[in-house]
Amino acid sequence: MQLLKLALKNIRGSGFRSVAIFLCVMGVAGFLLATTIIIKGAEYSLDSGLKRLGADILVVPTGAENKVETALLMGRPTDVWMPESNLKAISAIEGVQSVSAQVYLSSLYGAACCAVSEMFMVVYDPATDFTVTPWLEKNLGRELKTGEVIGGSYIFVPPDEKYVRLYGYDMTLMGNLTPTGTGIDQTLFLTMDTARAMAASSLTTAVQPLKIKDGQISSVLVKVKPGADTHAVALRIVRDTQGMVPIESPNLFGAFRTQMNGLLWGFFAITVAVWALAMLLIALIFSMAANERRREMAVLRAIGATRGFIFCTILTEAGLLALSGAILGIIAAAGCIFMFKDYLAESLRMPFLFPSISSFLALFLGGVALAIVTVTLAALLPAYRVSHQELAVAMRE
Amino acid sequence: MITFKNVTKTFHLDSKTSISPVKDVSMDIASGEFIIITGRSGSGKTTLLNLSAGMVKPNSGRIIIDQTDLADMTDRQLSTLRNQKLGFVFQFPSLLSSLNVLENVTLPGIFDQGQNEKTIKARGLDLLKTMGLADKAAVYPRQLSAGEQKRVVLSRSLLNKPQVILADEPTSDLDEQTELEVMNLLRGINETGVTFIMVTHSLQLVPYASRAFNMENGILAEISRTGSKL
Ligand SMILES: Nc1ncnc2c1ncn2[C@@H]1O[C@H](COP(=O)(O)OP(=O)(O)OP(=O)(O)O)[C@@H](O)[C@H]1O
Ligand SMILES: [Mg+2]
Repeated sequence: MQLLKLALKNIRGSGFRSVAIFLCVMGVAGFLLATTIIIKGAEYSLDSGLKRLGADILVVPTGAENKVETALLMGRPTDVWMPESNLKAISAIEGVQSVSAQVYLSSLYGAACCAVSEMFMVVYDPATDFTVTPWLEKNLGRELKTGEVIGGSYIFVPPDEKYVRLYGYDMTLMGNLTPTGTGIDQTLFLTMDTARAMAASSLTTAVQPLKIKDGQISSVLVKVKPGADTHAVALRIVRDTQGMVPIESPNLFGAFRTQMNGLLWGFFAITVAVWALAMLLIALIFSMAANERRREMAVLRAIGATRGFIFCTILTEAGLLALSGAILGIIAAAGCIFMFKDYLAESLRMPFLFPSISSFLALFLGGVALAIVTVTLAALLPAYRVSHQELAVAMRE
Repeated sequence: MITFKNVTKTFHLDSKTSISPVKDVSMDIASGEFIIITGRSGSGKTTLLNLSAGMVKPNSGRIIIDQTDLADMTDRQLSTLRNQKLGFVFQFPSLLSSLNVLENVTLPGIFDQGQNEKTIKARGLDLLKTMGLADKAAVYPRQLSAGEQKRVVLSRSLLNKPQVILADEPTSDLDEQTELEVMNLLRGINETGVTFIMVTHSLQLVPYASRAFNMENGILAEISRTGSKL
């Protein structure tokens, strides 16, 4: 306890050095955490998005893979079509348990209901759907009626209004799905009946009518049988059908994942470099400080401090600075990310979902531990040198 | 109390030059003595004190404190010895700048297990009072005059009730009046049975000593002996 007290006094006593080390640790820990949260947040977001879709394989028209991925990832509407007969063809394939068709529509520019200019609308088939139906069963206890919709977490009814109005057609927002950080958060889910009602209404109420192509769908969501090999099923879809491509769920957003991995390594390399530099700087500051304090430490030795005590005080100082710096840095970084997460996701053009409390806590503890270990390591050599110095020499300086 | 037997200390400055600030010194200091060592600058006085506290190891000869040869002691035992039996007053300013006066004075208490904080603090305040510094307890060293700093260091050296005080010019940069006051303080402490080995430049302090030595080029010679304390 006495040692802790002395270390604290020393920290307070050597203001500049303490502040320098503190800031160093704070900056690096904050930076490290920020990058990790962003990357983890993107991964978390993708995973929640995939879970939300609920499909093992997503089948889309040939050549439309990127469009669909972007639509799902960023919520930007897309216009892709294939014949409805594809649905039957897929369901006939060995290993397929269930299939459900979706139709992708787009709102007109500037819909008032949403944080985005054009809204992505997904028309699902209540008879086969497994994307929103589980949510409906749990939260609403029934299927959507005509004129009822549910939305991603960003969809809202404009203030002072009762309905979400698109193409001049009023719909009741029955609820919001939990956030995923992906384009699904900006997506409106509706049944074919509602879509047709909207299209019919749009002829008289909208500047431009909503067109739904008869006998056409945009994508097919596939669930494979338990125990069936998803990849084998995907290969069979390629072999046995024409004009469509299967995207296995883990590969969905594949291009984005690759890009993100590149980013991850970039971040990682920068972080390692920054960390190493900071370590070097801290080690330097510590050995400078240690030199400055050689005489003080010799005095302590002369009045009864053991080598171990000297060694421990210096390491304790380092540890305390690391602890406080890391805690503050991490909290500051996390706070900033939390406050600016929407802006961040937009400017980095990547999905983002703030990690859950438990994984944030793990990151927090990991970051603090890493900071303490590395800073203590940086102080190890100076601490050893000072505690084992020749007293006669140190006192003559 | 402290015995030097043919102690020599040599520093090797580089591969060719070396210097021996303490050469074949033998002395036997009894408990309760007040020893004064004078000598020119560079004659080896500080080195002699450092040897006595085990902070410098002799190249040859033996140093015995309380029947124990310092060479037989581990580093930890030496630390305990310095903490419990010796009090050191350095030639250079030696207060820790980040601690206030009372914290500096009670510093040796940290290394003394089994003492509680309250008693240490009370003793520290008591010592400061004796030194006439009771009102400076919460002040930081840089706010003190040189003489006040010397007295704080003295208080610190006395905290753990040592048997021997090794004082390296405790009255340098003090005016004559203050020097006299400090010397009377030291004599008072000496009279309670504490042994003093004090290094000084001023020969007029010699009458305070039970024995006085002069050091020249590492060689120690007794110059006066009163036979009894003054
Ligand atoms: N650790 C050391 N390394 C090298 N030389 C040393 C060391 N300690 C002392 N010396 C040398 O030994 C000689 C005696 O030094 P010491 O400090 O004992 O003298 P002193 O009598 O205390 O002098 P002063 O009155 O100026 O304090 C000096 O020449 C000094 O340079
Ligand atoms: Mg000296």
